[in-house]
Amino acid sequence: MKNNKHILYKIIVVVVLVAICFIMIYIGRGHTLYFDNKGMEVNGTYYNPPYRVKVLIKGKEVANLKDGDRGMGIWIGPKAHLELEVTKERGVAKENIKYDLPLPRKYDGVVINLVGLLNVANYDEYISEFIPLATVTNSEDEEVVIDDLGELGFGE
Amino acid sequence: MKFNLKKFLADNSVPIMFIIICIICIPLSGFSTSYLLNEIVTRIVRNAFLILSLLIPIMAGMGLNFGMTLGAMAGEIALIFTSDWQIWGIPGVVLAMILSIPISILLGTLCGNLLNKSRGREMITSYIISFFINGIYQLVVLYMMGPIIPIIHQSIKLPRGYGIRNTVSLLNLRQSIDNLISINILGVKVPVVSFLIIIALCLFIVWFTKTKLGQDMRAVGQNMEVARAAGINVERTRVLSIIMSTVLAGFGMILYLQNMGNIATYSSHSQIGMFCIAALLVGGATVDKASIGNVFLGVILFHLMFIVAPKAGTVITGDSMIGEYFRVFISYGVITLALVMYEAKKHKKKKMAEGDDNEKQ
Repeated sequence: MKNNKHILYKIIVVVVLVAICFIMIYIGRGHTLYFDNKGMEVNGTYYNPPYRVKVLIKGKEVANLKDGDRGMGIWIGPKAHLELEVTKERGVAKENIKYDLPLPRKYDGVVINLVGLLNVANYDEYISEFIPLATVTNSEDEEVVIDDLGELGFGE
Repeated sequence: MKFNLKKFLADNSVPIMFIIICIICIPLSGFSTSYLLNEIVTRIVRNAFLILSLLIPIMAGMGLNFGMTLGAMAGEIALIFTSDWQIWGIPGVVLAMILSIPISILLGTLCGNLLNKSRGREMITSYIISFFINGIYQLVVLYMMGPIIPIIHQSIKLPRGYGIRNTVSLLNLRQSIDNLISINILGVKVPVVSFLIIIALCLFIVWFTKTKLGQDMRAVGQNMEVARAAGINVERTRVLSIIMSTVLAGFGMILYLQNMGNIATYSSHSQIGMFCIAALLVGGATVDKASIGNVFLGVILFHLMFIVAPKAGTVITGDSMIGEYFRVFISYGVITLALVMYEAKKHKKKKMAEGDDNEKQ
C-alpha cells in the first residue's frame, strides 16, 4: 500500500514536470521580428508606407522606420504585443495603435509588413518567414577544442 | 571554555591565509571598492549554487564530490536543446533545469553506485568518473548530436553538419534571471531573484538535514557500520546523496551559464568541480565537514583573490602572467594543503585513539 502511494507520487511529479516543460516550450518560444515599412498591395489597392512608424515592444522603442526601412526586435511567446506610433504624413499628428499578433511557431525570424498590418491585409500577406542569406563559409571544418586537463576555466 | 589561539589558527589556516593574501593584494591592485563589490556579487550569484551542491555528499561522508562535473554536463546538454528549440528567457532556463533532471539522475545513480564499490576512495574515484563521463559526453555532443539526436539549427552545428560548435550562444537567455528584479545599492547591482534562489537552496539544505533522510545521511557520514546496525540502508543513502548533488550541480551549471551568456561546449564543465571544491576549501571546509557559511566565505575569498591577483602580480613584477600563474598555483595548492591537513589530522586522531586503547589495556 505504502509502496503504491510512493509510485503514485512519483508519477504525479513526473507528469507535473512534463506539463511544465510543455508550458515552457509554448510560452518561451522566441522569435526575432523584422518590421518592414514598405508599400504593398492589399485587395487590389496599393498602399504607400506612412511617413514614420515607431515600433514599441513592452513600452520600449525597438524601431523607428521611415519609408522603405526595416527594423528588428525580439519577442518571447506565441503572441506579440506590439504598439505602433504611426505618423501618416509629415506634420500630421501621430496615431497610437496596439496589436496582439499571433506568431507562427515554426518561424525563428518573422518578417512583418507594417503597411499590410495597418491596412488589414490577410495574415499570410503581411507575415512571412525571414530566411537569412547564405553566407560564404570556409569549407574547412571548425576545429573542436577539447579541454581535458588543459587550461583552467575559472569562470572568467 | 578557554579560547585556544593555536587551535583556532590551525583549524582556520586556509581562510586566514587567503584573507592575508587578499589584504596584501587589494591595495596593490588599485581596484575601487564598488568595482570589487560588483564583481564579488556577480561571482556569488554565478557560483554559490554550484558550491552548495557539494554539501550533501560531504554530509553523507562521501567527501568532496568531484563527480559534480556530471551534473554540469547534464545542465549543458539541457541548455543545448533549449538553445536549439529556441526557448528563450526564463522559460528557457526553467525548461533546461527540468530537462537536466533525468540526465543528472541517471549519471548520479551511475556515479553513486560506483562510489559504493570504491568505499574509502570516493574522491579520486569521482574525479576519474568525471573524466570517463566526459568522454561519453564528447561522443554524444560531437558525433551523436545531428545524425542520431535531432539538432535543427545550423548555427549551433559544426560546419560539417553534425556535432555541436565549440561555443553555443545563450544570448537570449543571458542574465534573464539576474535581470528579472535587480536593485542598485550604492552602485552595486544586486540581482534579487538570483539571491532568492540561492537563499531557497540554503533553506532547503537546512531543512533537509532535519528530515529522516538527512539524519540518515549524517549517521552514515559519521559511522557507516553504526548506521547499518541502526537499520539504515547505507548504500541507498549514499547513492541518494550523490544523485541530489548531481541534480543540484546541473541546476547550478544552468544558473552559471545563463549568467555567462554562452556555453564553451567542450570545456565549460571540465574544471568546474575543481574550482568549486577549491572555493569550498578556501572557506574553511574540510573533506568531512562543510557548512553554508564555508560556501559564502569561500566564494568571496577565492574569487576576490582571482580578481585582484593578476593586477597585483602586474604591479609587483611588471608581468600580468605572473599573477595568472599565482592564482592557478594558489587554487591547486589550497586543495593539496587542505587534503594533506585533513589526512594529517585523521592520522593524529587515529594515533591518539590507539594510545588511549593501549593505556586502558
